[in-house]
Amino acid sequence: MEYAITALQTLFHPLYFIIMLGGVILGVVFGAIPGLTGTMAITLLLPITFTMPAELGIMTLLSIYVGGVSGGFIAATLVGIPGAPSSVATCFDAYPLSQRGETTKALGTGIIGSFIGTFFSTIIAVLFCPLIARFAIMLGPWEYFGLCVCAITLVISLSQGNIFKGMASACLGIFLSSVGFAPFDASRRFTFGIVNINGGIDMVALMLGLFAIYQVATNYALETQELPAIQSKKLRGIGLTLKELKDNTVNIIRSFMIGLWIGFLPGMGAGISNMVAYAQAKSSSKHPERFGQGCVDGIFASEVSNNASVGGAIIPMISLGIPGDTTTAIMLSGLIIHGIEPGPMLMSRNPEYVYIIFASVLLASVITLILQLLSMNLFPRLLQLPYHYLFGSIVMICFVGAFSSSNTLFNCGLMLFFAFLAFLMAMGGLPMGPLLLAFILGSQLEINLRRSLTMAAGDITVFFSRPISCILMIVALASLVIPIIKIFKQRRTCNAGDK
Amino acid sequence: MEKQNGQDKIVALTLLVLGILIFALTARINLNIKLASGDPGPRFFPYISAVGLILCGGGLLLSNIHDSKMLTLNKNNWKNLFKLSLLLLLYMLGLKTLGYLISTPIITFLLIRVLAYGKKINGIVLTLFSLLLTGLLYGLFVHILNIMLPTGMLF
Repeated sequence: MEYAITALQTLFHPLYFIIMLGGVILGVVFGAIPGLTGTMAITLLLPITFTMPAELGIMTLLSIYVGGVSGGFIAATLVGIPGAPSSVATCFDAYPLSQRGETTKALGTGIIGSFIGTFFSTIIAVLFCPLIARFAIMLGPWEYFGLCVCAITLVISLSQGNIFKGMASACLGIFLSSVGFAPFDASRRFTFGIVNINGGIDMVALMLGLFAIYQVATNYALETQELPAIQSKKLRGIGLTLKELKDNTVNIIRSFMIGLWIGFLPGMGAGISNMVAYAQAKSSSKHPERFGQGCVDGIFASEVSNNASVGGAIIPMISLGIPGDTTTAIMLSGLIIHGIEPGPMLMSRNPEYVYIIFASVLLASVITLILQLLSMNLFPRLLQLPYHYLFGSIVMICFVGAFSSSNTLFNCGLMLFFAFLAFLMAMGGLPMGPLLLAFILGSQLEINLRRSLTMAAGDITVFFSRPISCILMIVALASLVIPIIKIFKQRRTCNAGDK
Repeated sequence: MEKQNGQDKIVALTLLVLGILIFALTARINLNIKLASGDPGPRFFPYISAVGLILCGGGLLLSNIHDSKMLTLNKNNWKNLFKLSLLLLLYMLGLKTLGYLISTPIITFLLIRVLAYGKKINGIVLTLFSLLLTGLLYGLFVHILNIMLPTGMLF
């Protein structure tokens, strides 16, 4: 209780509150504009939070995260293009509803759905994190190794395209994480005499290159910056009636549970939960024919579920130190940069930070709700911001951010190198998620692997002789082997067809 | 289901070559101290990535399936990318020689012009924006966050 009160006192400090408000606004703007994402906003702001006190840095990053996930529905409603992958299903009904002249209702449903998802999933996270952390304290390096492997393989198996490409991307991430001094013995690896990478590859340069510069460069190269015109009428009120909210109670609860569970699982985030919840809502509806024509139920299903994934993803991030998707992986690295090591020990060592994290998400969701309700009239203008000014500013912030993370221009070069690498990966069809997750979890993986094998005198079967690590390793192996078998089966069918 | 094309094969071969290269480089890692019994040492982890890349390259070649999710660019897209890359490299050079305060407004001005695909932009607004962005970032980083920005070698 004492920590909860301290967390609230911190949050309501006037300066902290204003910065949080700014974070939410930035998150909503980046989430709303197609081509920009909340993940990109977190990456851009990360260097700026370096010199902030840890609690303020966390609050800023979390407020951008919440705003970013929520803002995705704005473009989905107004122009029929999802601002983020988490809002793909929102387009199906929000855009037709808006086209029918009921833009206020479509936006209002999105705002209320987003709030319900984020706020209540965080309450669940508050209740579950201590329980999971208490259990996780009993885990040894074998189980931790299994958990990290499991998280990476699940992300690989769910990444689009060929499974071998997902695996190759993770292997590249492992290689990049092993650059610099090795743990335990401090052997120098792959530094080629460059002192700037003795301590490893700079996380900020890598993230800015992969998620900001690459994104801007590709959008510019492919000329995908133009948005369709928006019919902007005066928007008033919420547009949603209490009856519509009541009629959707079951739909909201079901979508909430789907989002929470999918967010909790590694590799699956808001990008998948909105589609699953939408499909479920449609199949269980008494009037499925209305879906896709501007049905409020569809907007609720998509927006409640994708925002419920926020709380779901926070649970393993805080209690186990394992990120669920790319955005939480970046959030996790942000916490590490601020000296906070998420995992079971965080609850006992720094409970004040845990409460600040929960309180920040809760407050950010309330701020997002109020802000979006009050500024609904500005949404059409938000999507009319000139891209050339936006992208130009992002590039400049990237350079300054990369430089400031280590006070050397080498980092700017490194950032450009990673943007180039991301580009080559996209040309080769290699997904980015496994690389980032393997890079962030790489040091944990290696430390736990070497610790486990040292304790077991080099016996590799130790990972299969302990029940939890055995289950995790089997899940990890199955998630890789099953898709590989499928590929070779497909190939056989293809060859048989040719003959 | 389509069969692999040239681009798919290049990806597979690149992964194979990269895996072999990492394997060879890993073998050259020097051990600083005597390892504890059972400790696989600092080479083990990079070996995993090298072997993984070789297996993935081989697997891709054997699977012989075309991946339609690959990014493809036409001549115009390449031209755009080349222009942008040139500007970014120029900015790196500018930061090194002229420093932040001189190179940032110039490159911001040029960058926004390039990003606008030749659309008409008000020159005064663009100049003011470039100066304002430079000043805002400078004020934020140097005066509020106490982080130095590149000063350049010439001035």
